[in-house]
Amino acid sequence: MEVKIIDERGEDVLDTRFKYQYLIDELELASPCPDKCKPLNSFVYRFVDSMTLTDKDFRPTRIIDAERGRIRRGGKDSQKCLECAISLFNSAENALKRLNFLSGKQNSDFANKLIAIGSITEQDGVATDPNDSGHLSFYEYVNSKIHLTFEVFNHNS
Amino acid sequence: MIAERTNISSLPYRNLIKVTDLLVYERSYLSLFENKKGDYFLMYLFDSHQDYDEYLFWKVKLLDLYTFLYRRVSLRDLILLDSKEFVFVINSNCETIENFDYKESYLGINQILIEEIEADWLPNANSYWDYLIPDILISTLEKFASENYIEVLREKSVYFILEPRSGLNSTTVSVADIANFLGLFTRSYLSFIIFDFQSKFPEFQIDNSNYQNSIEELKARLLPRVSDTQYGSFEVGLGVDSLVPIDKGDGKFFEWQKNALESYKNEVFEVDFESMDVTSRIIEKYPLPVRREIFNPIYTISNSQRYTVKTTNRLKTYIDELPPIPKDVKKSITSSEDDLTEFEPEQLEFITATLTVPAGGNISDLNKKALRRNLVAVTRSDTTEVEYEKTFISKGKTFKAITPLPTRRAIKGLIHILICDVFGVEVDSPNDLEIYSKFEHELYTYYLTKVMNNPRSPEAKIFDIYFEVSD
Repeated sequence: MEVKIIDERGEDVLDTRFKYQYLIDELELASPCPDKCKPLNSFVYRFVDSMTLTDKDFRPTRIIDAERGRIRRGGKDSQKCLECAISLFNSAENALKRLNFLSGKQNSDFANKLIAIGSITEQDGVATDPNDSGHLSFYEYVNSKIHLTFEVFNHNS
Repeated sequence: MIAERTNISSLPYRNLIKVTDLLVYERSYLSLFENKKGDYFLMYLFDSHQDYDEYLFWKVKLLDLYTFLYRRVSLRDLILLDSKEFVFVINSNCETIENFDYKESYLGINQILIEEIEADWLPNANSYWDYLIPDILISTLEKFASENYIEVLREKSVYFILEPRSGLNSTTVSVADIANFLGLFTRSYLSFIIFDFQSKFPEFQIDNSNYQNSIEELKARLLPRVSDTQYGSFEVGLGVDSLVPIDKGDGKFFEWQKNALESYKNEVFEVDFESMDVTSRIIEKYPLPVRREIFNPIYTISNSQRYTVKTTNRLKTYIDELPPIPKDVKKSITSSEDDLTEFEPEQLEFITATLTVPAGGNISDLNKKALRRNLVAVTRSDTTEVEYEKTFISKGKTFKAITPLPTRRAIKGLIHILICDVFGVEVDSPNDLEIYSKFEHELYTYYLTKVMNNPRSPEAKIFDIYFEVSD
């Protein structure tokens, strides 16, 4: 059920709670999460699994890893925090460049993936600054539906 | 199957601390570690299983890291460099490995020979670093470069391998072939960089009144340095100084300088001469005289009957052979429209012709028919004596010839050479007409440096025998 927050004049107020706040809470991190993030107004790119995009294509790494049974110990709070975010790239070129650095084994996971482009606004959430390889982590707000703004545009193979 | 895998209890290195993660997507794929001795190590995530991840871990020379971060080799090449014999395979069920002193960081370590690395553990051949140098490494790499001039010069060098076409003397080539190659290469390279410099920095040409001297200085500074050699077959690494900027000013030429030889390699030496697009681009980009100066020597090298040339880099991660440039391609690049129907020689030589002319007459009195009829004898020679007795003007000064100056003319391949033993001057040019303007420039320089300010010197007295100088 979608909950809307309205101000005293009855107008909608942006609900800045995060869609996956429960993941962050479960971790009981000692440091702030998300950290050093800001609203984003930009086109971004993401590897997805199929032409038809759903909310499932835009879930944090931590959920995807858990589904695969991937269990790891330790890790810095900052690293764990990033796993609660959605992985995006600032250009299709940077997304594809990533594949150059993955081993043949790792790359096979990407063999059937597609690249989707979407527009994200400050209404949708906050993101880290892109790192040197153009990768950024995005924390989606609770009422955002970014999967509706994305479209598959190019098969990575 | 891994035949040489050896299980070890811990890495044979102590106090390894992570310097930085070089490649991070959702997680770290490539991380750099350092120990207290200043040794560097790389760790590359190559596989993820349900319960653990697998990493390659190896000690990396700072020069090789420099090579990778400055895009000379790919990550794949860096892993496979045979300067190391083995790497470690680390299994870990940690999110990230920060400190190897904690044994909990890893489940197991195996030491394997480099040839045991399986193909699908490696990134692809395009895994060239394509990002900024991480801030934390900039000062380390700059310090390394300044303290290791020759290593860094080698790193940026283009390596040329000369091998004989015939197997008569095994893989050796003669000194004459080496001299021939280096001379032709240098001539082509210098012509390229001067044109490239003038194209990219036209304001320099306009603003600088001392243009000729600047160009000569530029040539001297950008002459390839010999950074490495190997004998057997002859191999030479040539690099251009990339540590001391050619300009002391705002450094705007520095980036160009650093890439001068690489640009030459990419735009001249390693282009696909059989591609119509490439030849069209060459014709469009360079004026005809420049094309001749740059590409005639390369044509001669590529068609040498005595040796072949391959290009590579320090680590030999690629080897390209310069194929013979087809004659018609060379013709389309270095001939004008008018020249195309004319005979285009590959080599020139001198002949001395003895003719009969009417007493007191000279050669211009003879038409073509008379020339043939009056030809008495022809001899071929490497050099010929020529007396220079032309009055010329250089930089506002008139040099009036008062005594014929003995000079010698020679020709090597298509290159004209003029030697003046009296003043110790030698100039060369692919253009017969240009050789005299070069010679006059040298005479002017000789006058300026040895005569004008020291009129009583022996050099001045000799100069006065041949020229009378006036403003």
